[in-house]
Amino acid sequence: MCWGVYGKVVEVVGENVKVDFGGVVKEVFSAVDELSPGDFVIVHAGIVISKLSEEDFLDSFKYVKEIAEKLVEEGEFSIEELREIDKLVKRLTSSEK
Amino acid sequence: MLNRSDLRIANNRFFRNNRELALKIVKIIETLSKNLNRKGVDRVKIMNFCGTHEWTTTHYGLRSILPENIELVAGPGCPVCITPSYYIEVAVKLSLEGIRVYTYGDAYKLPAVKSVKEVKNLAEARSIGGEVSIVYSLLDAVKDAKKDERESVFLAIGFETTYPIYASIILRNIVPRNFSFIVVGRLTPPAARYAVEKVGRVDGIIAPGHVSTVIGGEAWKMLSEDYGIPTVISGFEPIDVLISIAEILKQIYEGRSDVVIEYTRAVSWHGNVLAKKMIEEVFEVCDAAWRGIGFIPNSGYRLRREYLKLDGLHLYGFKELSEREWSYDLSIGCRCGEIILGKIKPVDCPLFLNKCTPNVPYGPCMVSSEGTCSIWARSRTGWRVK
Amino acid sequence: MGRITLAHGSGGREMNQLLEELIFRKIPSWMKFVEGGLGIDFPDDAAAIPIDKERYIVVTTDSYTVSPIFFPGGDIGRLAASGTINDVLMLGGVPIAALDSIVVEEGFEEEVLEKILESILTVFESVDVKLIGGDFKVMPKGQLDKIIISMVGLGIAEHLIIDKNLEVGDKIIVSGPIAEHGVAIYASREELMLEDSQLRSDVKPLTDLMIPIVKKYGRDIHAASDPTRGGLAMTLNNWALSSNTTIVIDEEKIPMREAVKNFCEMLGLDPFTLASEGVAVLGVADEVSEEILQQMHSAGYSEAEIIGEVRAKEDMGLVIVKTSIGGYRILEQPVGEIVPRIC
Ligand code: SF4
Ligand code: SF4
Repeated sequence: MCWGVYGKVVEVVGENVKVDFGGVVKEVFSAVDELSPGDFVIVHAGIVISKLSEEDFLDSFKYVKEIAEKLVEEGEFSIEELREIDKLVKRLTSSEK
Repeated sequence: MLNRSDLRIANNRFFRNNRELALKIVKIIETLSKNLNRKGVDRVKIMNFCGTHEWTTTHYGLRSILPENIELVAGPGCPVCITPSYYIEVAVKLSLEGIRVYTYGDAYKLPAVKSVKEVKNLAEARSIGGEVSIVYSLLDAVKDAKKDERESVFLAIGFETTYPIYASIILRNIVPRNFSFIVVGRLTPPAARYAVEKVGRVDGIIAPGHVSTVIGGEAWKMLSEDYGIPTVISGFEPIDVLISIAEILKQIYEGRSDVVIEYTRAVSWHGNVLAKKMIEEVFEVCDAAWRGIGFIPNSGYRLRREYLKLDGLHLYGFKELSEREWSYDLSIGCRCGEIILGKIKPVDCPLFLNKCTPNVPYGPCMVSSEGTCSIWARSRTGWRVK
Repeated sequence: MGRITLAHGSGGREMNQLLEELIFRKIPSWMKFVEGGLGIDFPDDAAAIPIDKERYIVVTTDSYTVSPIFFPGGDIGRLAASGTINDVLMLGGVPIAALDSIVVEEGFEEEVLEKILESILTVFESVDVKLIGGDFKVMPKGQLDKIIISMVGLGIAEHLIIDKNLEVGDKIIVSGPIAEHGVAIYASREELMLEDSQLRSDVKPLTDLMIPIVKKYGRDIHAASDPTRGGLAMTLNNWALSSNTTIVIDEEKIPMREAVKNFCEMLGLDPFTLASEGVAVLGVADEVSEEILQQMHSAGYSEAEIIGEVRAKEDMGLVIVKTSIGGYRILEQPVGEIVPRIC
């Protein structure tokens, strides 16, 4: 039941916020303090339950890298493979500019 | 370095539509699983706790690209499936007495075990004149109820993720006078504890991402501390789940069992403190029944004393379900209880896609779009390309 | 026997079962088709009766209901006229004439009826189809939800496109972004605040697309459909079942507008099961697939894509989707009423 949808805050209306889900705007409640327009949030069943963190956005990939590095260390994985993964992540991030 | 202007697009690009990276991670998973093999671990059983994870797994065909010895099983991940039959019976009764019942679409066809005036679910109740209204959110129901003076109840199912909205509306004091709740809120960590105790060996756990935005990573500590099971709180995109699987394998290989947050963009260690506070102000934790399973200690919400007037059961003279009165509440032959605990797969139930289909569900797991049987029926999970 | 539910009308598996059990099975086989033509022995977009050695009359009938009757991008009149024309086209016919039969509920506003008729006429005018007959009835208040339009479409074909002729190696082409109609209807029902009107129905006659392609490539087009009720999932499953093949499509290739994707995600709807009313899906011989695609592009259908191919002969038809991360899942026939999920 945690069908959570990402959206962008477009306006703060008292205790509520208007969120743009990519063309569809809905006014929803919020369980997150101090939201401001431009913030990205997760909405579930009519209420904001979390604000997306820009800083930690790509931290998930650090696990991939860690594991790959470890495997290379143990000789299970070639260094090229690791470099490719590195490149892939870098390319993704730089194309985001 | 990130596209500031649209994190949604970034999300899709990194975590969803990313074949290249998916292939790499699968390669990593294959290597890890070979290593484990060499160590004598031939099968790895990973349990997810969230219907949405099961959906991701099947919708993106993850099982078709993972090594065969990695078994992904679904746990008690859907609040619809585990709603005890008793509350459905109460809702059906109320609707037939002319009290309007608001429900999410998912619970609309949820079958009760005992029939009330020959009907077994809210859909049928409506077809013989019961007052039932499907809503997309609680806000819609509140708005609708304000229009007339009709007495109404809301079938308030949900896990920790869904409870902030209930709490919020109550705290803001905007519940209309003619409105009350049938509170069937459930907490996931106690059920997880129960499942790992009853199911037998589980090698890793993919913990629910959106539940954890509220309760935080710390709520899952006990899985590693008390049971030594590697636990990863995962996002809902396919890449998220793949990363989580890799991390679990790595931990098994290293003999560790930590709680790790993969869903870093949304989940923090302490969770959403404000949301937790809101829930706590309105609800208190109690022992509660899970359909097909029974009572699990400290696994449910109930309204605090001062809000008792909002309790539909109380208001209309129904008793709360007690441990003594709860009886096995699945229809004959339905094996949802075992499916919810991850003991068996839907294909192991003889009624699956036979007497029990998404359109004519026999058991609760076939009803909600997140129910394990329903998900399997819709995407024929476990299927591999030759 | 049970009762008919809404699910039986939603175009999914239940409907097929119901039709098979209640109707098709009861009709003696000689009654199902006219010698040399196509009938309900092989249910397709339309039926056909041979005129002489080279030509067929193509005929189709359908009833149209929609709520709301005016929706972003069109109305029930435009829907009925376009749908009828498209059904004739999808069997390889050139639409010539139509008949309509309109039933309205007592109290229906004349002005609204006039608007709907205008829409019908506008469509027919744009593609040079004659409206040669019809009928009009009124039902007492409450016995009908506003209005139903039934239409018969007539056309002439030199070669019939019958979907069961799909062959291994054929490419699957989609002429434009899918699910637009379904989403527009949902959006207008849900009374959502739409920032702009990106969610519009695609309802239109596909004459300009189909006629030139059918003329030029006639026999190389093995299957053609417009994915209306039940969407792409329904169309491809029907093809796979009737031709006993496995169809593999690539999720990444399927054209879909961002706003449509977002909307579906918001409500938890599956776009593959939502209707298009202005999209053609073709199964064509591999050799001509690129050419046909180019022709579509230059005819203004710039978002047309080859989305997959027919892989193998199989006893039980199967549709497989290659997912955005390279996994595979089976695309099922849609089941049940489509309800948004909150979960
Ligand atoms: S309620 Fe949330 S955590 Fe639970 S199954 Fe649904 S999506 Fe998953
Ligand atoms: S298939 Fe149906 S009857 Fe069997 S366990 Fe699932 S829900 Fe219950």
